[in-house]
Amino acid sequence: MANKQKVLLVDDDVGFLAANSLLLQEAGFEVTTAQDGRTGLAAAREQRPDLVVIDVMMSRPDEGFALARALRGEPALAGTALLVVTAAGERYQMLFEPDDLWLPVDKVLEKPTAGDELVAEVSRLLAKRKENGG
Amino acid sequence: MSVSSKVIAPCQAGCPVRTDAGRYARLVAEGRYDEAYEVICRANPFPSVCAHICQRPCEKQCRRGPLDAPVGIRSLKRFVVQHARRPAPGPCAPEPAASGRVAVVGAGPAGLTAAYDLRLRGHRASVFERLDRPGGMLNVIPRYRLPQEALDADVAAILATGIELTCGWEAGENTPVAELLERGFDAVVVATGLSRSRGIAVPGFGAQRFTAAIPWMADVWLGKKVDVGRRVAVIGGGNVAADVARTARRLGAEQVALICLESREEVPAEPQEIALAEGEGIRLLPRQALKRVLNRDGQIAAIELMSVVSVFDEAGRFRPTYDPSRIRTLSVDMVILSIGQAPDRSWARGTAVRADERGRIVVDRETHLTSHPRVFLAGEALRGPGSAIQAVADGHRVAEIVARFLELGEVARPAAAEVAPLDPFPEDVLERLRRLATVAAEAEPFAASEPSLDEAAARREGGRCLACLAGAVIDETKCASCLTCFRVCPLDAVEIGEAMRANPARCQACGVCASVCPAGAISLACWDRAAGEWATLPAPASRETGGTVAVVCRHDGGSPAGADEIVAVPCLARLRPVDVLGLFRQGYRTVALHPCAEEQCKYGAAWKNIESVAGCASALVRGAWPEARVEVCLPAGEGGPVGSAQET
Repeated sequence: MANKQKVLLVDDDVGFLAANSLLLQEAGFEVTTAQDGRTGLAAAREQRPDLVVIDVMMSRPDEGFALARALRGEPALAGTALLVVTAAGERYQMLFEPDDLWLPVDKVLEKPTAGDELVAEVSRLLAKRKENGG
Repeated sequence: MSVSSKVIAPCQAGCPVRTDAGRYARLVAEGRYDEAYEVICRANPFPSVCAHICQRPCEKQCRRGPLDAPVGIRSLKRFVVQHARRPAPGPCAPEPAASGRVAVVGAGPAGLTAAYDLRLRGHRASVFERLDRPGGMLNVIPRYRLPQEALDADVAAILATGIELTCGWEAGENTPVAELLERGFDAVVVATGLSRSRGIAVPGFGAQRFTAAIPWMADVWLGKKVDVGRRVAVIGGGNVAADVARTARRLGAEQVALICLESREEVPAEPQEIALAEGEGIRLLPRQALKRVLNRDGQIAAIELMSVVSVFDEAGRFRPTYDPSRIRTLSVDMVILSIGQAPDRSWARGTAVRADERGRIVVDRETHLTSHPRVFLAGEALRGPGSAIQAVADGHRVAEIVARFLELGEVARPAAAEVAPLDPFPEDVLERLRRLATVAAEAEPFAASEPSLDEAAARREGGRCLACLAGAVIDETKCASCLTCFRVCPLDAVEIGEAMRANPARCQACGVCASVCPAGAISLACWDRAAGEWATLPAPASRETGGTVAVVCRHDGGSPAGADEIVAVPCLARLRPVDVLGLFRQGYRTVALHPCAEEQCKYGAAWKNIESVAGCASALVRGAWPEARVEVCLPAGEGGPVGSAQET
């Protein structure tokens, strides 16, 4: 049996973590969680996940953005797919999209995500990563 | 230019809805304001809005530009909407039984135009709007640029055709677009615009008073409670950013900085907007990028900016590069992002409308059709950022597609309507026009600010139109090839070929050729209109004693005393002797010709033709009506006091 792909969820909303851990596990992923940017960065360094799902507004309003930049700056995690899932767009009435300078991630999804939307996006990004030799 | 392209006036070609701006400019010059209004409304259901905020693509194309300055078309439009008698809008005729029902999501310029056009074609249109009022993003344009009454007037006229409007209706998960189709609408047009501001995930993001342009402007101009700092940084260099900065200043901000990536020369906002902003004390900081927001206790204390090396790459793509070593710090307490807008695509959730990997709606840009066979996309939500008049144009396009879909059951690609602008004046024509002294001594009279014109100024400005494509047309079947037109044309516009032809790129409709053509083979659009008036002139009270008819220059607008009837014509130099004879045949015995003063004559050299017309007509009438007189009444300074008569 092939190794399961690893997904790290970083969010201060325990409800979000619990629900989406279940859905992702059901879809065949190995899931770990962290509740803030600092422990999320440490977990990523330790576990080398294939993909990290990042919330933005945690103890600081830009905490997830900072975590995304920190992860992208780690050479050892260069191949890790990054998916931001945030309500910041709704809260600030702004649209966030990946950009090289401040938001170097693969995709931004807006909360609330529909039932299987997160699982579908995680699967798509990992399949794309595999296609690209990641 | 394609072989099949129709050549039209450059102002018309530059207008996204093809408004015949030259025609209404000339109608204003002639004092025909209601007709001018009709010309404007024929193409554009937002005349009052565009009279204030149109970005004037017509003026950028005006062939008068290289001569001195473009005709002030937007100013003329504003004059017209303020002075014409607006026809009372009324509901359309009852729709035919076979008419369709269309739901339009979004009551901005694209959505309302689409609903209006569909309504005029007999279909039923219902508009659903997220805000508490129609107008879409036009509502967040500052009122000092777009007065509320201008927006209200246009919207009221559109809705009066019988369009149903529902406000406070947000397309999203709870009220999906699919539900509209289930409710019996045959088609849905989504024209939700660009209602979201783009964000930057810059370090320090999210403190209090870190906000975005659109929601902030919506709060200001929709009358909600709004917060403004003392020292405000507006990030962006577009027209919206300039609006935000000027609005912040009006709300009491002591210092406002407009910070943009581009150099002063590259700033995307119109130069006039930047000039107005700077005139109000707003500081433009070009070639700067936001690097970090420095917060203290959750409040913004300052921002760090880094220098921008370049904004576009060699291929012209937006790809800024920075010099992070060159940092400056600016003390501010509020940051408003105005770096662009994006569509809110939440309406597509829960529908069969597909989006691509980046979340963009999959749509055929020609037919407006999404992946759902009855859902169409239009306006900025389809085309990206643009002007109000571009949104109106897209509303026209989608309405045409949807109407055909309702009427024929098919979504057809629109026929290519290729048009090409008339070529610019050749340099030698420009030089001759300059010598004709019809050129303004000063640059564009309305550049610095744009006050509403009074009547005299509006007629003068309309008279500056050089009448592209309204010039001479030589009827080959009547032409005797006598070459008279060739000899008299002051611009060498008449060309000798297999047939005589007036080159429209050179002709500026002075009418000299038409007035001297012995075969009557040359016509001019303006003169044809005047001929219609001629025919309706009443006969004099007594055919025995006759009467006096005064023929006056329409541009000068004089009303000479002592005349029984007054006829205003576009240019007296265009009169032909036979026209004058026609007045005698109607029973008049004195025809008084009142030309404008030479320095006011919009046709320059054409003015000199009047005396020869009068002389020729006078010689002709002597045989038939010995008592008949033709008088040329020169204005003061042109050979005699005003009203003095010179018998010919």
